[in-house]
Amino acid sequence: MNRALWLLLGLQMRGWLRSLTRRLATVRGAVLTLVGLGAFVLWLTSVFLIKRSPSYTHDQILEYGPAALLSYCLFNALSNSGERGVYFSPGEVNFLFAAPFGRRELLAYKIAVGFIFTLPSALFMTLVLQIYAQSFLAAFVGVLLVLQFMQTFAMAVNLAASAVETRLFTAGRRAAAVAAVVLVGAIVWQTGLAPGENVADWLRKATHTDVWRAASTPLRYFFDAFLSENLWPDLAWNGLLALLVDLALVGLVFGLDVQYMEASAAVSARIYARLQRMRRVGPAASREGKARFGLPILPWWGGVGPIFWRQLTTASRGAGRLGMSLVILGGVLAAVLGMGDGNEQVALLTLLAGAGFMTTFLTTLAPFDFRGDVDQMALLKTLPSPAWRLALGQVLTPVLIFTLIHWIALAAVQWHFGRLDPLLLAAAAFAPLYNFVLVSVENLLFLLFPTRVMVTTPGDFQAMGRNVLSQLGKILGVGGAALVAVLAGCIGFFLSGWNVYVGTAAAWAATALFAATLVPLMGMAFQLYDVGRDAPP
Amino acid sequence: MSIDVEGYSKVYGTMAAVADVTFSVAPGEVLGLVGPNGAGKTTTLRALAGILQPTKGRLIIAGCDVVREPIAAKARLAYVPDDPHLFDRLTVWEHFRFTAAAYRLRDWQPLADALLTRLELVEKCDALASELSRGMRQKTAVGCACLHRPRALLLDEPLTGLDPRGIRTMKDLIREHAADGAAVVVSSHLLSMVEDLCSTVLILHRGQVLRHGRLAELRGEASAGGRQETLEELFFRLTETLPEPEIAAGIREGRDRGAAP
Repeated sequence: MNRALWLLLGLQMRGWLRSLTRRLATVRGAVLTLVGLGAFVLWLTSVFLIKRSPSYTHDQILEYGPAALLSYCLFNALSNSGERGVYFSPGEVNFLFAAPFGRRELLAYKIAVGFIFTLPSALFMTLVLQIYAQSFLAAFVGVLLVLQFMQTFAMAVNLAASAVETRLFTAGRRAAAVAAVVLVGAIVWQTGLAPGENVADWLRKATHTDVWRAASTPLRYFFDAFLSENLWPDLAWNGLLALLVDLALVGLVFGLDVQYMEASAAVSARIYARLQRMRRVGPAASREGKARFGLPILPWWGGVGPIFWRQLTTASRGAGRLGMSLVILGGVLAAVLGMGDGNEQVALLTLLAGAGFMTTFLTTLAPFDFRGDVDQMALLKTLPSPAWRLALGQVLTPVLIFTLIHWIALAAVQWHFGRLDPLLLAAAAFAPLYNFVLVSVENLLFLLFPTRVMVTTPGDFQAMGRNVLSQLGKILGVGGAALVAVLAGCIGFFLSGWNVYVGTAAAWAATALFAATLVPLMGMAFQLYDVGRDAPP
Repeated sequence: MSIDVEGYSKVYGTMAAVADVTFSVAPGEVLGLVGPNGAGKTTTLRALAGILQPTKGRLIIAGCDVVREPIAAKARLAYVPDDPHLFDRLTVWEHFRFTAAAYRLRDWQPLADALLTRLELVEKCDALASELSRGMRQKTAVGCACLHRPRALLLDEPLTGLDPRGIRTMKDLIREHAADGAAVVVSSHLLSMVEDLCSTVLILHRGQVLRHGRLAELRGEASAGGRQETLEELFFRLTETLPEPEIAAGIREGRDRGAAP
């Protein structure tokens, strides 16, 4: 690799450390880092001190590991949504593409950057997966080489795609899909399908066929390295073989030597635009929305209506991503229902608690409130509407979204039980209040400690600390609302002479009051927000 | 010639972004590349910089074919895009340091210091790129582009985001590079800047050359027949008000004149 590119790599690493230390110099940065480090140390302690029993045996890992790895790589290649080319950051495109560097030198630089960024991820994954390995070192070597394989495989596929036109790329993907089908067909033919056979048994038989053994041999070396018992000769030999597989793939990448820069510049611009959108609006905006339809404008409602309408319209154009939260929640509910062991009430309570807890994490998928307007705060400040009404209009959209999701989920559960459960009805009544408190607390925290909704990278303790504090704040807010509801419910229950309906109604009213007090608080926090000082970088 | 473009075309699917464009820029010449949005200016500059592959034609920088000898050609050129992105976590000085290494420069620090001073970047020397304003980023990119004294300087909207002092410095830098024998191509929507700075003008329209000539020739055309048009009025007349057959005729005329000036 060119010496200048090594210099750039070194400067980038130094820049990363410098930006970390600069943020540490501020009180907020130092506190967040401390909280993040504390959470990390707690997690690390639990990893080392709490004895966990592995869920899979070595034989199972060797049997299914290569299939899982190949499936992931093929899925990644086949679902590549038409993006051809290797991603370079805009700075890299500007400075490196017009500079006197060879194409292979730039690819070597990308592989080196990828390898360096893989190291912390590999370390984290090793900490989690080491219970399956014989030694930490073997686990680390295995994980690192697997991650490198995944990266280089994706790069090879993208370069191959750059080499051909879109039409041929599509044809190439079809050919890859056909090859995968032929491989599976050959394995099925060799395994044979016995009627009524267990899927797990059949998979076990399939992994022992000659076709699969031949096809998966290069991938098996990674898992052999991961499970190596001794440093010498096991890990040394298996690690070397796995490394050779990685190097062969690197050789293929260099051998392709395609004119990838044009495709890369185009892909990089698209991905950068997507990253910028995500930086502004959060993970929900990873894809550009389409204005396929418009919602009718809402009434004035004292200024709340237009604000609510704008957020609702924004949400309706990113609705595809919201489906993800429904899928995640649905998966959790299905798992809980499956664990019911016949006791419906226990299953129901577990389910409601699980759904509520999951929602505290899912709110980042629908930042159609102040969090998504981080770059529009100045505009919001100019609107002729009292701060509390504006705040109310801002938070209603995510509340509506999550309430609808909860109601759909509760209706599905109701259908599953086949009878009208009063607990489910009560949950449906409390869902809007619960979501209102959750979203309001999240927005309050955002207005007081503004930050962008970002995906954290391994080793970013400040981001980790911020997430821990945000989660803690939400749980405290919801806990406060629950305490008020329980107190009011108990008072109503006893005063009404043990009437459960009056108790529930009192709890509901108290929660609504609690939720209502958050609106002026958000309004005050919005007024305190200084666009010049508080706008997050 | 320092820059030679012969029959350059760039086709995306069935759409020709640039079609059969031919022009040359001699050492010391400043060419103004003008045209409405989507005319193919940036596509042409990016192809000259070796970022885009031409569908057809030859692009030569100081005697080196951009496609066949990309590294030799790139060593002789500098390209500043319309919205220059820097490395967010590198300081301004580290950008200069990297550029010096990329172009294998020796004793580059005095020139870097001089550029930093002229571009008013001295105080921002240790600032991260992510902390810079749009104008400061532009100045850093231009400073880096000038560091290796390129034989061909390609600038896409170089004045965007600059303050009055920055605009003057930028114009001076362009003139000095031209005086030192560099061929400069400036793409811009600011026709006043083109009139002020450029010795030749190339008007692109829908990917084709509508006019290519010395500034004096275009001024002559503008005042021909007692019209007394400004360059801006001529530009609008050529690109907006001419009916399709006349635009086609203009494109043919422009192509015929292509290599002439």
